[in-house]
Amino acid sequence: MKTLFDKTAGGEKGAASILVILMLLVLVTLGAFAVTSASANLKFSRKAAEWNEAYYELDAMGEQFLAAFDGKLAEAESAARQYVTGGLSGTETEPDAGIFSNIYLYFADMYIRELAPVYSGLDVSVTYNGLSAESILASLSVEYEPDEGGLRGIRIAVRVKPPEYQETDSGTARYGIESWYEYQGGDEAYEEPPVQLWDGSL
Amino acid sequence: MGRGGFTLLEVIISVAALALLSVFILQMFITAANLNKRSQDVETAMTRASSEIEFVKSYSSLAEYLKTGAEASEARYTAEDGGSVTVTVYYGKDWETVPEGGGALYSLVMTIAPEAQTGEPAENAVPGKLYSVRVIVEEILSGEKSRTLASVSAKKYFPVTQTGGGA
Repeated sequence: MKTLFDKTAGGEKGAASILVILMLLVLVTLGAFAVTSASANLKFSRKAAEWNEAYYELDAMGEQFLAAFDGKLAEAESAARQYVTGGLSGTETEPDAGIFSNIYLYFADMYIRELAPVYSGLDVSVTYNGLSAESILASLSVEYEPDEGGLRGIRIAVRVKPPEYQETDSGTARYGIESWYEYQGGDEAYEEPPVQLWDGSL
Repeated sequence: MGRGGFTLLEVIISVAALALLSVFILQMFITAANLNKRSQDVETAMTRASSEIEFVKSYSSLAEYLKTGAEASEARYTAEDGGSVTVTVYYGKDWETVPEGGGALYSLVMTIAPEAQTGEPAENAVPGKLYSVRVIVEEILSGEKSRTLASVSAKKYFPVTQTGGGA
């Protein structure tokens, strides 16, 4: 049987070429591997970038909701002040802060619910302390289905507390963000402990 | 030929073949290196874009951002046009910030523009303002050409009810 460097049978002929061919094969294999790996890296980076862009689209929907929500609270505050002033115009005394709070929350609840046709995932609940309303908790889920399947969403919970009656332009927000997190998957995602992105404090 | 070793002709042919094919093999490695660089650029560009957006979102008003954040570094150029704000940052070879015209290879342009508010605000109500934030990170190529590495659109609502409309 002839071997590559079998001198007795003249097997050394072409051995240099065979070595070169082997070397080239190794180099081509490594080169192809490098190109494939780099190409996969680029694809992954682009995918991650798309994922990030989609996150900000969801986040933007949340911010849009906050804008609409705050607009409704502004309307509620204005309506409550007008109601209190008009309703108690026959009296000499200043309206009680507790009355204003209750009326404000009543209007806020009513106006926030007007957003429901636009934001189908909106859920509004009023928290009571005894017989008087204490705060309103509004939570919203915004979802979309990416092309590659699955489900992505953002869930926002906002708490509304009545403003001080005396303050008309206090420079503070009308609401506090209780939670703001992203989730993936279907309804079962709610059962998973959420990854909190922001506790709502500025 | 009876002795061990290669003939001169064999060596010449082999070296010639190796030299010729090495060009193509080298091309493969160069392509891989370029793809890796582009991948790294896309990742870095997206990180920078996200970072800029989060930086804006961390402020409670646009006025506060303009006062303290927009000029946080020397190599940031801020321009205001009406209610819109444009922040431009230039980066060098290793994504370090460089001044304009100082051998910049990448640029980041962030535009913060007010959005039309949905619905009329009630009388005496002082709502905040919704802004659209758009960040485009580009690789500056030769001439006037450039290649977009990342393009992100976000929104930010500034709820603070300061006198004058919250911004």
